[in-house]
Amino acid sequence: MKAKAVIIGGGVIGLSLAWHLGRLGWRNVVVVEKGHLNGGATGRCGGGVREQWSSARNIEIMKRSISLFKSLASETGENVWFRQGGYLFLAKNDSHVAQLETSVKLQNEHGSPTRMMTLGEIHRLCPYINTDDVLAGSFNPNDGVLFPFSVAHAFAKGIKKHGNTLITHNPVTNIEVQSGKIRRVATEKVEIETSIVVNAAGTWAPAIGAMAGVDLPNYPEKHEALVTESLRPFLRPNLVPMDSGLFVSQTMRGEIYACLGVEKGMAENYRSSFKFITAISRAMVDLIPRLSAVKVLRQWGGYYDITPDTNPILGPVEGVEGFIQCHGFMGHGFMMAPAIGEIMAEFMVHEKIHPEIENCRLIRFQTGGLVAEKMIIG
Amino acid sequence: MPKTFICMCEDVTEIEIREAVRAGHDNLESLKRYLAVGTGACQAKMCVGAMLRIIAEETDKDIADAAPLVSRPPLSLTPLGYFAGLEKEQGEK
Repeated sequence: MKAKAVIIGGGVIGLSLAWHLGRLGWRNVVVVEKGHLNGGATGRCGGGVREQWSSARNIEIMKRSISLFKSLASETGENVWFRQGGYLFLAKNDSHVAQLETSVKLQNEHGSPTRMMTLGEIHRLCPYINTDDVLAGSFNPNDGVLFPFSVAHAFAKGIKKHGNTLITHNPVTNIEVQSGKIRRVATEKVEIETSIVVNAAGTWAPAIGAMAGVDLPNYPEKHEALVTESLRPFLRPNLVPMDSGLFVSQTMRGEIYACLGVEKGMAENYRSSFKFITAISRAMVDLIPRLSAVKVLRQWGGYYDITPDTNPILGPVEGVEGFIQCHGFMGHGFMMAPAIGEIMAEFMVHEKIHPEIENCRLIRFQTGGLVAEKMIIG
Repeated sequence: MPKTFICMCEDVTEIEIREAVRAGHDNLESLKRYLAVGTGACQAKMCVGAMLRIIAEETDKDIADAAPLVSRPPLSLTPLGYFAGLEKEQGEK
């Protein structure tokens, strides 16, 4: 078959990009996914979305993402279970308080309604949490949580509505490059002739890069999550105690979802661990003592797609014309997917180069360049 | 048949599962991530047999060939306080 563009990776990033390409009028776009939808990082993530970031770029990207998430259900006809209960960051030392104050100021300058919260305000918002060591918090009511399974299916539905194609259970076996240009993608089910390939394979991006002779610096880091039995809604905001890297949220289905990374560095597998379940249970009970009696349903592992300077890798690469990168989202690709998909689609369709693409090209690792983001959680 | 429930925890009916299988979600892992079947209190312990049978009926797969669902710990519902206490006893950080 022939395609205008082939997107490798049916995670939330690749799906969002394909949806945006369709919205901008591109047809004959093919997404290839090696397994089933939600089998990788998308289906393993917490679904949290927030405007509370420490850099102007990420604040703007997230404002746009949240606005697109809000209309996703009506545009695609799939309920994505969006609940805007806010994010509450909790600081337990002076440096974290200062970090929050700086970020809140920057977020306010970008029109985001984040504000610092006193202990009294924190108690009124979340009566069940233990604030013994907490000094202050920051809260943004626009932040929230969605159901990742449904978001992936919403994008997939949108892609099909545009007449574009999604092929699951179809690993890529080779990318053919001829005189420096993309020519063909070989997959298990079909050979696709194309001049544009997008690498949206997340943690698996380096393997895809290697097929086209492009060396990528990403590596997978294991992060783990659990979910409890469903409870009556009681926890409005998503909670992030900054000292522990813990994230706790109550989903629209009533479950308490929590995640934490207990093994830093290159992961060997994403099997769930005993070390995780004990560490996170202790952190959760410390944060919300009443959770002690709440039962765990299941735990699982997943990967963060890590880059050396904590920023993603976007846009074209030197040496292979038509090979576009879109990965390295440091465990935050889910929340950024709607805006990143739009930015990348505008680049591909209208050749519009958003500053984020200019900043995040692979070549920066040779030329030097980007400031690390502070508010990476987990 | 429309009101025959297969996944009691997540309120998923037989007809919904048949429609999902016909739409291409013809294995347990894919079904789980489409309908959230098996993600409730029983963790698929009650519904897995019925789902396998429906997949076999709707496709040309043998029940034995329809891949089983990856099982995730804990084996049965366990309070957070139990795990939190374990760590303290072992003195781990």
